[in-house]
Amino acid sequence: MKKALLIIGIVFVVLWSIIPIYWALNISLMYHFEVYSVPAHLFPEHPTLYNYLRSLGFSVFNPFTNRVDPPVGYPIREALINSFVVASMVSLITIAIATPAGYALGRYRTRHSGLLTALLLGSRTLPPVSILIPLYIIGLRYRLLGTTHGITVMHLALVLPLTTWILMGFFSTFPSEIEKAARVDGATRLQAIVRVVIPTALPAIVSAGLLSFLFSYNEYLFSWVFTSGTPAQTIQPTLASMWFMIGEINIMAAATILSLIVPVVISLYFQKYIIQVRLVDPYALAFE
Amino acid sequence: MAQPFPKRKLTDERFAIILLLPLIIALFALNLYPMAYSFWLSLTNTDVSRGISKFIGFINYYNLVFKDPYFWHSLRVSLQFTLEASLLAVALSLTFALILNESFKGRRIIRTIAILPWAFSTYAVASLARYLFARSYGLFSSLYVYLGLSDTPVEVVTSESAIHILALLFAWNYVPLGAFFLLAQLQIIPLDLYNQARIDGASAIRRLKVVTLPFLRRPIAIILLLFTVFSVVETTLIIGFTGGGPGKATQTLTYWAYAKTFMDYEYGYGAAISWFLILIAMALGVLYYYVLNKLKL
Amino acid sequence: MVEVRLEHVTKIFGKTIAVNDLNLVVRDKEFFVLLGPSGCGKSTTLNIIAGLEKPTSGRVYFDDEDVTFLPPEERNIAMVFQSYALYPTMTAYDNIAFPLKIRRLLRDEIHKRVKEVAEMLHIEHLLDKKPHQMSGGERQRVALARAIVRQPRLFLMDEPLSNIDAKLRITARTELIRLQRKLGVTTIYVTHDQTEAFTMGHRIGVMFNGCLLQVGDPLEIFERPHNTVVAGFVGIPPMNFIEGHIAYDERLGKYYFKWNEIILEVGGDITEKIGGHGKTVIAGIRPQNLQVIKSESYSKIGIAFKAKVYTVERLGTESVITVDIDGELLRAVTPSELTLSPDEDVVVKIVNPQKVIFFNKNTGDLIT
Ligand SMILES: Nc1ncnc2c1ncn2[C@@H]1O[C@H](COP(=O)(O)OP(=O)(O)OP(=O)(O)O)[C@@H](O)[C@H]1O
Ligand SMILES: [Mg+2]
Repeated sequence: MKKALLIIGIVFVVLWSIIPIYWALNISLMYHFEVYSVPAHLFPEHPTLYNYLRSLGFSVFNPFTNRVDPPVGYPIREALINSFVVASMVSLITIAIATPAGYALGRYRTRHSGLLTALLLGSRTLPPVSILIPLYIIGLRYRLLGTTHGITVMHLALVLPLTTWILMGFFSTFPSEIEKAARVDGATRLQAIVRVVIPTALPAIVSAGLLSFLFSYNEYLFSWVFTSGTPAQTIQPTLASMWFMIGEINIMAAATILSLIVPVVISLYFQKYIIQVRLVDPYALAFE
Repeated sequence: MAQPFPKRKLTDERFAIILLLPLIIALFALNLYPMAYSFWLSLTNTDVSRGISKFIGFINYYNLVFKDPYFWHSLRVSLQFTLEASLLAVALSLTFALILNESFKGRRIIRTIAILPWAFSTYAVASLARYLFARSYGLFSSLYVYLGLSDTPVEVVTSESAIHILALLFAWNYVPLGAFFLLAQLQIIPLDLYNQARIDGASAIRRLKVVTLPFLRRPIAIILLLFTVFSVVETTLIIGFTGGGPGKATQTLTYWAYAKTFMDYEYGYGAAISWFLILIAMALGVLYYYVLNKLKL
Repeated sequence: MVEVRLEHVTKIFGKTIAVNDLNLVVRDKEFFVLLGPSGCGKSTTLNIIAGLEKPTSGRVYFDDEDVTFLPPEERNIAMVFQSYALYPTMTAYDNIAFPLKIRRLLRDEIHKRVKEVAEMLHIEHLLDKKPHQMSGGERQRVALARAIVRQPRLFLMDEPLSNIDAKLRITARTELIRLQRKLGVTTIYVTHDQTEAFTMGHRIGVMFNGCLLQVGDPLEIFERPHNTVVAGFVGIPPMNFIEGHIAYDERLGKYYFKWNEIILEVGGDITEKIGGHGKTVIAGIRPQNLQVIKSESYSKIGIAFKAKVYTVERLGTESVITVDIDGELLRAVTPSELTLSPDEDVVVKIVNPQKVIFFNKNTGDLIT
């Protein structure tokens, strides 16, 4: 009885998680003519990588029309590269700012740390849509629109409070004796941090960095407003703009699936992290 | 002779401030200043399409609450969406957590699969959903045909169903987070308690009721608050899936703030709407951290 | 190596006075133990000596050098922490080599010295392991190796043995003592375990609530505690305190301490200090100084009084007997062969009346 319930439950979990991905995958493996079959096919009859190759900038022979089709007119490959560049810059800069700040907040209690923590918390819960308008106007003024560094700065605005919050939590549980030992062993304050604290904190720092990476890669709202229709366009606004490309539904599906590769890889890394009891503050792992 | 207490040395406090300085600057420039700016905007009638910008005090807020029927409509839609989305997400999180906490062969793989939607961007979720729910090539509309309920594919997304489907999509995106948080909490429950209950002759359902659920009460409150905050401010999902439609059926407060600003270019009015959101989200966020701190982790 | 001197050292955290006007001289080459209950400020004192904390006021000297504001890395000291504080990402070898690497010693020199201490502490086989792959005892040795590898002028140890099991602790204790005598490095050792303090220290400082109450060699602390607080903290089981008064016997011209049946002669000088006849004082009697005798085998020699057995706790070769005298409970240590049962009538004898000490009732200070 209990066993049967469990099996039903497991099947439900798998179907729930897989079906939406499967369906897009299914369509992405079809030639255009098959997409509009009635009723829709549950499996591609002529599975092909045609859509993927065209998305990535190759000309592909289509055996059903006997034509060589050119690469799609949407810069999908460029968008993936842009997203990668922006997300890398965002995570590196975030780590560079948030690691010292998180260390200072977690390690030292100063007169102002309470105020700063409250400020972080406030920024953390700020709805992105409400700072989008002013930041858009600021972006206009400083010519940040349509540039890679512009969207990087915007993502920093969103991701810094989050990353600092995670690292502050980590450093507040970090055994201070390890750092004290390094001092007594002859290391200066800076040496102790660089040679002992940072290596020990590396897993946490890497995790925080990957989260910022994923956040930036996945962010849509600012990316759309700041980069859509420009050479700096990242992957999420590219997906959005492709919905206007009527008739190329199968290509769009391939692009969507391609955009999911990075998140899937990162989630494999986080599986370990998230399953262990280290998931203390779910807010820290949630993003828009 | 003893030297006097030196003053200019690098104290802990000064060192901490040096480390915090980049963050403080970034927070001021990228969060506090934009907020202040947005507040100022909300006190003007700035409208880029008409090229006007004048200080008008709290008129926007007044019009919003007393004059604009869409405000109340959006508020009602927001409320419905938040309620449905967060309750559904919590219920599924709990179910998933209980299932994934059982020991069975292949649990690791199932967990890996279950975590996936967490990592997906909200826009990608909306895209996947458009495939799933499309009329011509969607799975669900065709299911009607496969099951013999209809001869032709059926339009699944209607002005009645759209909001429910959005709630479902929200849940799809956020359930892994809730489930894995609850899973982490489940693993803290002392095994002795289960064994004690078993010795006392409690059935599996009773064990769930007297041992598991009391432990999960606060964690559930936490994810409920979390989902509430996120569903209140959810914009991308609506932009990507329904664009506020059909008609205005899924026009939530956040979507409306977005549309007013970036489609109608009424910056001042849009800012005023977004200030309602800021207050709601922050209140919920503070409540969330208050409850989280009470949960001695 | 170095003499450590603390002058009027005070440390205040917010509202807590962790260390209160502490004055102390730790002699060159000495093994000095700071003993006190949890939270009394031992670690804080040690951290101040290490330079990890700055005192709120007061001075710290190493020989004649004022080091109060010298950062820890410039003090040339070594410290072993309760948690050992091994660097988790480094192997044992790298942990031990760390202080030398920081000082930019040559590779070969580092290698030679790490090998040397590893041999001395029998941890050659651990050198490639990381801290999480070692047992508590092994970690403790590695931490010790890291401390001695660079021949510091002062060792500071903060309860280094409290995280290993009881049996290992005894061997580790002897080894530490042997090592300290061999290296001759001044050592300040913090513990709340009095057995450790009494077996290891040349001298002991007893701390309470941030105050250093008494400094002295183990025997002095045990036999002549400066006040009732020290007397009550030191010794297992704790000292018996009884409150009696001074009586003057005109016939013999002598002063006596009287409480119930107990009558003890006290010197005239002590009596003078507290004001003479009729004054109340507190007598302190170590349980080891009380002998319990079965009523029937009692012969009237020395000072003895009747009592009733209250409880018997057997601790291996010895038993702690609590006896009841008119509602007052006193503890005595007897060999376990003596079988006693509760409510049995016994006679309790003071073995050595000279070792009974007296405290001022108001101040709690020892009367000498
Ligand atoms: N950084 C700090 N901030 C505030 N209070 C502190 C700090 N460090 C120590 N204290 C307080 O100072 C007092 C003395 O602490 P300390 O650690 O020196 O005690 P201890 O004698 O070492 O105790 P234990 O045997 O438990 O280690 C305690 O009341 C403690 O709470
Ligand atoms: Mg301590």
